[in-house]
Amino acid sequence: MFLRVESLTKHFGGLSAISEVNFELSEGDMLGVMGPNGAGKTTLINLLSGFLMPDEGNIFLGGENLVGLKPHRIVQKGIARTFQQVRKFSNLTVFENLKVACKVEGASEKDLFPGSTEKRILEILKFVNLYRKRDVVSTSLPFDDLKRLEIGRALATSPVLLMLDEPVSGLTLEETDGFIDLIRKINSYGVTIIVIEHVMRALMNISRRIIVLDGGRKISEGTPKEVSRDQKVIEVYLGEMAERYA
Amino acid sequence: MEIVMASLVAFLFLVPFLTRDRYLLHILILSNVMAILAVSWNLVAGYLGQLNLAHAIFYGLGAYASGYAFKLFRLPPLIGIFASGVVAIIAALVVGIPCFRLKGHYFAIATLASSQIFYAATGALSKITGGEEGISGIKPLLKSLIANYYLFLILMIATVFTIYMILRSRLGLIIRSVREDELLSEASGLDTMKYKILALCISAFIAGIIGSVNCYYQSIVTPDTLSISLTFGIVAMVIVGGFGTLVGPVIGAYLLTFIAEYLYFILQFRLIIFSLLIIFIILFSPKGFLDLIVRGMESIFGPKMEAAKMELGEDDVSES
Amino acid sequence: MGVVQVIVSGLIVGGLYAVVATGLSLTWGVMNIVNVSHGAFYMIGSFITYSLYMKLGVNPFLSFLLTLLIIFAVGLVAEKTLIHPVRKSGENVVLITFALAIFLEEVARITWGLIYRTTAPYFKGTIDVFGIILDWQRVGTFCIGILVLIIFNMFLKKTKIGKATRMVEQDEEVAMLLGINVDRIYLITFAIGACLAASAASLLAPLYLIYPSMGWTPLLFSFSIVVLGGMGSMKGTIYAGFLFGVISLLTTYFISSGWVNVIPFTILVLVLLVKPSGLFGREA
Repeated sequence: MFLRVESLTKHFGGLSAISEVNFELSEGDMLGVMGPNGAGKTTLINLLSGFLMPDEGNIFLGGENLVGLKPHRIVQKGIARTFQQVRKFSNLTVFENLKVACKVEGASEKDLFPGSTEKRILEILKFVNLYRKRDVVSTSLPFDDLKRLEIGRALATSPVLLMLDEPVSGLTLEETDGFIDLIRKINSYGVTIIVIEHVMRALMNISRRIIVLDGGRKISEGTPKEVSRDQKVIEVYLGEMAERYA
Repeated sequence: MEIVMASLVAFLFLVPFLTRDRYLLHILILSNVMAILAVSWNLVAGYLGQLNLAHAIFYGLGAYASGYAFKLFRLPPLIGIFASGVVAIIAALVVGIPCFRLKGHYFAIATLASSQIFYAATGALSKITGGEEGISGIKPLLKSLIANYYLFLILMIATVFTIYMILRSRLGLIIRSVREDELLSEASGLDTMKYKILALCISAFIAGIIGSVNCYYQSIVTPDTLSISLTFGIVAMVIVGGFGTLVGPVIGAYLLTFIAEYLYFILQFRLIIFSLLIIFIILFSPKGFLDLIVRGMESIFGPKMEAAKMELGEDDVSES
Repeated sequence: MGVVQVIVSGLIVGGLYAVVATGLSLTWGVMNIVNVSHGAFYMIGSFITYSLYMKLGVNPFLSFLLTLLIIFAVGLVAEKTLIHPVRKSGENVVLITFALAIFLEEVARITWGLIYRTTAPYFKGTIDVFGIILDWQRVGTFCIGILVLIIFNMFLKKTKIGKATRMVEQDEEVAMLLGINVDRIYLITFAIGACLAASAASLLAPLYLIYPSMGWTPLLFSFSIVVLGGMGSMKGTIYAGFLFGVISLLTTYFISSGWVNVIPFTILVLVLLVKPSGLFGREA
């Protein structure tokens, strides 16, 4: 098994943010994570990327337990993530933003973007459509370019597993479709993907499988079609909608 | 802008030919010592974005190390200088490893507190350290004042050059990225703790070396080389000259040293002036005196200064 | 018997450490700033008490109150002019309070000079408690110090401003939404923090030497105490204060007074290495 998450649990004071979550991924999978606000989706990513220590449970990547490793070590093992609130190195150019994330020795031939550091970065920038803005200081980028930058930066770390936290939130319909294609393309090169999204269109189109979280627990799992028909899921979302429109 | 810099440097080389004033040469040496301290401090403060308030300690320990090397062990100066660098690095590890566990302004006061350990130790171990009087009678490296003048000038230029090369290297990029967003750096696969410590060690090493060389020049080492007011002086110089610029600290160092030494009739007021200056600058122009000048010139001369700013190596440190 | 005496004396002086440290803990917890001038306010408090009591002959009790009043005023001015404008940047606050500290130290040096001074005791005589001899000066000082802490605690729990302050400490944004004038709370908090430092200084004036650069040690002691006790925990600060008092005096007794500064700071470094959130603190 490529990635195996066992009984992952995290409490904050009295609150259970994540409770006994289990799932598995094969290499090359595209897993969607959905759930109402506060369901624990971002907490899950924080746990998988090492920014939070689980109270219980294990995370196995190819047999190795990642629990307890510091975030940079996990990145070095091949797990990259993006952030829900777009982050960037403000006073650095687009090129420099990626250069920071690149490993010193460049990447091997097996990598998505092989070659020397300089060459890789330019290739990645072309891939995410930021090549022309490579010398622009990142603070002056428009929102959708910042989203691209996030993905580019994550790709620069040569990931085998890419975790995207709401990659298309805030984007127009057209931009969203562009991103869906981008993410599919990344997956087609062999990178395993986990996507958290609220935008159903994106989530349903990208994921081959979906897990649904609510109140920190996994309440459903299956193909997009199966999940959208699952009574439990409908209830949870109806419930959220009821709250919103009450 | 590069032309201006180059001609200033050339001018400095020519000074001994233009004047016989021994006092002036001495002040310029002092300015260079402070400039080296300011530039090395700025690597961590301006570029890494961490306020290390223990910098004087690295300088002072370097000085004491050389003092001992000479007095106790009769070691040749080169070994003394090398030992100073090593001692400074060890101190940087002792201070940095615990203190970097705190972030931002908490780190600042943690370093201040840590520095007290060393300062207090000079008092507590006064039998070894010589207490208030320190260690004296250290034989100088070079005899003539002019030779010393060139030595310190060259060291200052070497320091600026070293920092410049570091900033251009991958390490420099990493340091700046940690300042911009430490969390993101971690998420990009960088061991931020390692790089913060590394930057601190480099900064400390330079301070230790100059502490050592200065110790030979002055022939004496006293506890005020470890004092908070020395750290304060360094901070003032960098703020005045410009945080996060390459040359700013040098200008700040020269400016404040000259003010302090030449206005000796108000010598007793110099710290008050410095502190008011800092307060003024932080309230009205956080990027420093240099920035004030650059902005002033901009309003007169227009856009040309944009190019000048970039060549000064100015890195926008958004402090406020 | 000697050791017990030292421990009791340590607890007594520790009580005053706790007062000073609480002042720092207050600005730290509520305003999220590190006030590097905390020690300077302590120092100025000492000098003002000295001048009032020794030079102008004002009685100790009145000197104490006047000192508090003056420091409160200075604290208000300092917050308004220096802290408020730069509050958003923690680093700038460190730098500006650093500058303020140096400024105050120089003002003291020019006004009073470098001579080590001390004041006459407020209370005379000794008391024998179960074979331990304590002088009334220390005991009286301790009692007043505890009284200060109790009053301060009541202020936090019972008064409207006090409760507002605690709310701001919990969550500034929520407090603002609830209509609390956060700026005014900060203003008062800073001034009270300075007052706590000055009150301890005033009480300790007969016991310790007074000189311009005396402020750094209380500052750094306070910092160590707050870290040891746990940032964000007033209770922890107080316990740690007592602990520090005992450790300091034990150090003086067993080793020498020269090491008094070194040992506590070493403890600080160790705490930072092992458990940065302190003994009672919340996870950072």
